Amino acid sequence: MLRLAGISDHTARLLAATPALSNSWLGGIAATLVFAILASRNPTGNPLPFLIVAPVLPLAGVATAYGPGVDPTYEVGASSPMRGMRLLMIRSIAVFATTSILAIAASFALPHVDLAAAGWILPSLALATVCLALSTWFSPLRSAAIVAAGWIAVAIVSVSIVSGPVRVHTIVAFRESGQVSLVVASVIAVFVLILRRDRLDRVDR
Amino acid sequence: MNETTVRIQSVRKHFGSVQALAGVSFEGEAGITGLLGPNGAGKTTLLRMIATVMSPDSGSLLLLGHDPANASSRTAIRRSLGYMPQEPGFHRAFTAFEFVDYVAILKEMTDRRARHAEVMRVLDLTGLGGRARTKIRALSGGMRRRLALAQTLLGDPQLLVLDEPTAGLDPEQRLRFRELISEIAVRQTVILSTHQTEDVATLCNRVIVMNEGIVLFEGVPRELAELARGRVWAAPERDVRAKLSWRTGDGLHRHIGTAPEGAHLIEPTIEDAYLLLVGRTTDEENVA
Repeated sequence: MLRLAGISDHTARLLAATPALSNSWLGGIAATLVFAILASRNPTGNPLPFLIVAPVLPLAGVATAYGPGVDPTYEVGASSPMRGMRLLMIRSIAVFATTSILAIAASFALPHVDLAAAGWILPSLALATVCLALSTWFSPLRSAAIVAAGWIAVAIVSVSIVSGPVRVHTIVAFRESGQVSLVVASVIAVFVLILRRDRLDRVDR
Repeated sequence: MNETTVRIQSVRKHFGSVQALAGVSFEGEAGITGLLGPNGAGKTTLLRMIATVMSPDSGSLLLLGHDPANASSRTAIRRSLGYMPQEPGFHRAFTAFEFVDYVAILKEMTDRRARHAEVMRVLDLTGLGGRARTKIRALSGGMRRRLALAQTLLGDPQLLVLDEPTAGLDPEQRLRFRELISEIAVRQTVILSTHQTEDVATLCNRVIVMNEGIVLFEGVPRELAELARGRVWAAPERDVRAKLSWRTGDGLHRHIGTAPEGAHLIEPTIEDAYLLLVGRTTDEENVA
């Protein structure tokens, strides 16, 4: 299928070995999105459940794209001349794109499709890049757990301290300033990842 | 005299409070070097460093003339390296061919035709040519072990690092493995770890015995066996003073250590010397 999409045979083989592109994984993502959409079909039409869940899914996909504990051939791969950074990028971009396409498609099932429905895209990018940067210190799964826990904690605290009705902009990440901050965080995370890319070729992290 | 291809000096590694390597030094050249040692001796940590996937806390390595601490040198080493981890993992939905093809791509073989020919060559070498289209999940444990070995042979690497390659192989497969590795090691450097003293005796030009992160012995297998000369006895009865003692098939007890009553000296083996060096005396390891 990847070959039919115009992807070279060697890149297709690298992607075929990506756990987060397996049918069972993508089925799980789709099921989670369905639940998030159902939760967002509330009487107030507030899409907050979807906006909080949607960024976590690409994060989970990226975390299981490549690394110790998620790729059974990681150690052999780490000893090969192809840089871990390159393999990580090939797989992460494919996983991020696939998961995001599913989430974008799902967002059209929200009760009110407007610009606010796209509010999850920048958080999603920031969570994934911060996770990749952290994975130069920790294992990918631990990095994803830290980032996801941080994201959910921010969402819960934001919702719990508000006195009036809960709206999309209750969460700082969905305000304009928050979205700009997330872009900055993504850029910083990419720089950290580039600086520490050699760590991706080591099993002791 | 062969050129030194692996030079390791005063390498140390800690994992938290556990000291995995406590100043290991040795040199390797073309041929087969066997690492012998009990579990936790530091063999896997050392092999991972030679495979460039782990860095030492201190000390230095020079592999094929390159320092793996440097990123570009590390890539140069990896272009001439074949590595089989202790627990090789597989994408089980892949066929044997697809798995080795995947590793070949990681080894920068991008020309499809040449790569596929190379994949079939190493599968044939390991006796898996007829299983190329079989899913990995349908292969036996021994076949998977051979598959893991096959990927190390891609591109005819100068340095082969094999972590317990004979574990789980039946006697015939082990003999075939020895045949294959001994042919390769004429021109290449092979460093392997094993629990099988027989592998070392029959296959290796050099042996390194490790325990608790240090090298206890480095030399040729014959010299290792000589360490036990004068300390291995055959006696009619078991003697409690023996470091290790077990009854053999001929009814006599083989004693390692102090001479028991009515005993006579017998020819030592590598296994005797290994047991003396490592000094393990737990009851479970005494085969009565």
